Amino acid sequence: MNAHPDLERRLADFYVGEAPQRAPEWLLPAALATIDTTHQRRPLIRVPWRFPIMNTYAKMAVAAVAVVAVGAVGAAVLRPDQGPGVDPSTSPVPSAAETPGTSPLGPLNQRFTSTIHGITVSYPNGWNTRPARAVWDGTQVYEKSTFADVIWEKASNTPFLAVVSQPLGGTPFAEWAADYLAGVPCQPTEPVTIDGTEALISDCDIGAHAFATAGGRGYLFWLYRVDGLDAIRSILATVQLEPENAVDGPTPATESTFRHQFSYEVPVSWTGYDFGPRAGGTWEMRLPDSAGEGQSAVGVIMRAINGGRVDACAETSATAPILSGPDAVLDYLESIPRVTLTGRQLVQIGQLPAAEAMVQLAPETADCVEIRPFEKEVGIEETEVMSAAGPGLRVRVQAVDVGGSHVVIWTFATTQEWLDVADELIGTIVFD
Amino acid sequence: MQTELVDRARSGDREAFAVLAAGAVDRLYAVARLILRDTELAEDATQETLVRAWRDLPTLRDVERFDAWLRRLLVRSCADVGRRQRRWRTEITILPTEPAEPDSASDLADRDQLERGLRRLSDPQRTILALHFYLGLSPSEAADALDIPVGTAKSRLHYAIEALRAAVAADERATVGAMQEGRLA
Repeated sequence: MNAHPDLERRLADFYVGEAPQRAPEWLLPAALATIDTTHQRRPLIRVPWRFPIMNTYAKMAVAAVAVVAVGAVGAAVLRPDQGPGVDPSTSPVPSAAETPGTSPLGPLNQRFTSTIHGITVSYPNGWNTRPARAVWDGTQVYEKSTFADVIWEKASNTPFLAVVSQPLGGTPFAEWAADYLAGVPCQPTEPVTIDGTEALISDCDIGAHAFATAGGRGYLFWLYRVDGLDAIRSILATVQLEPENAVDGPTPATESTFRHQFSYEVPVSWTGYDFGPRAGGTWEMRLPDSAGEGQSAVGVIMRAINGGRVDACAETSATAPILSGPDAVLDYLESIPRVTLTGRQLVQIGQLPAAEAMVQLAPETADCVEIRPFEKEVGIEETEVMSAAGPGLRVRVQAVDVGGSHVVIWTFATTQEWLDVADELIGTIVFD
Repeated sequence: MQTELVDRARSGDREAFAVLAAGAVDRLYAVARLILRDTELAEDATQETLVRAWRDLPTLRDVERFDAWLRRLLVRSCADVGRRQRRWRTEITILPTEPAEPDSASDLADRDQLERGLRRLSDPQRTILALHFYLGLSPSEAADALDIPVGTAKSRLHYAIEALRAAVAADERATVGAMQEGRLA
């Protein structure tokens, strides 16, 4: 049984023997047949590496400011079953009158009301919703646009419905719709009626698009990866246009299910940033893909913690409380092997005393491969952020006591300029 | 040659994509089979990878990175298929409890033991083992395929090996115990 005492060599040999030499003959033709009826996805709109002008203070001065009250941190221990996908604005369909008879997507028996775009629409069971968190800037919509309400099939992530709206601002409706579709291979638009108003619909290579107008607003609906127009027609039949409820200025407050409440201000010119609560009781801000290769050039991660692991190098370690006071959190971090804190200082966050330091991580050792500093219930964001610290990425930790518990804020930035951008946001935080 | 094909496929040339797919399908299927430990799931994951590759190819910025990008799609597809089917845990519960044939130096028994050990690992652990020990990817290349930091890939690989070592050791103890019981009976 132990002819090969070296497990790794045994495994490599095992894989060579186990790996099939060829895929089943039918597999490739079957995949290609599927591809024959699959449209290619339009390239995403790339977020620029950095702002055209880094004078964000100036932008803040001229931009409208959104005050966003959100649930912050500590949700993992209080609401472990409630992730960020849970949306208080969704509810079962209240009456049969709002349910269409049939849809290629199945019964549309869930209802979604946008908090930004002034619309209510039905969708099938088994689909998730991600409400828009910013007003639409008129750029092309894709499935991860923070300004779009996106409703998607949970099992496969596709298909999805994206909805946005904006004031027409005097542009004729048909012209506005044509502008958006410019360059997109589409069938000619057809007139339809949505919620009793004039509308247009078109079958495009990247999925059906529909445009409606009401109250001086233009609405866009994009149903991705469902061929034909039947599915989007069935969805459009459930639409209620509510332009009076649309938001065009600051992003409105959202309700919170988290223990610690805080608010922060976001200049609306920060288009492309991704803000909001995340699973594991974390609140996060990132500028997606700003460093290329899917990496962010700047990000802020914040959560409440209950304690620290007795052995932060052991995934199964027990946890113990951390003494009160923001310095105690940094003291705990400094006690962890491989972790070095520099530039420790006292600061203020949300008008509360806080401690901060830059984080450096020594190379892994046999006894300490991966560091998980806080209680195991939460995610591994700290681990990943700390692991990434190096010459190309500044990592800072800040600790502040809020309502008797520790709140830890991790900031990562590729340059001092990006750190300054993060500080602008952190500087607006108020713990409620 | 490949970059030209990728470029053409990215622009919607289905024939170019078919050539790329034909060159990749065997390797994709082999890796999926090693990760998922199931023929049907591997077929599903391979098909899904090829369809995703076609659909998302216009978003690939660097055609030189096509192979790495395809690996990343495969890993995601394996994870998705594994999640959807939820067959891992089922398979764990139906593992045969009887020991392998006590054939002293049998390759077959050795392979069975590794097979049982691998089935006891988590999906991410099996994935990184296959990437490292079959494809020969370095931790940084595996990190790229898995879309995780290099440090996390290193630690995941470390823990996966240790978990497999523990599973194999437990299997050996069970085998020895069963053999001793057989002698005492």
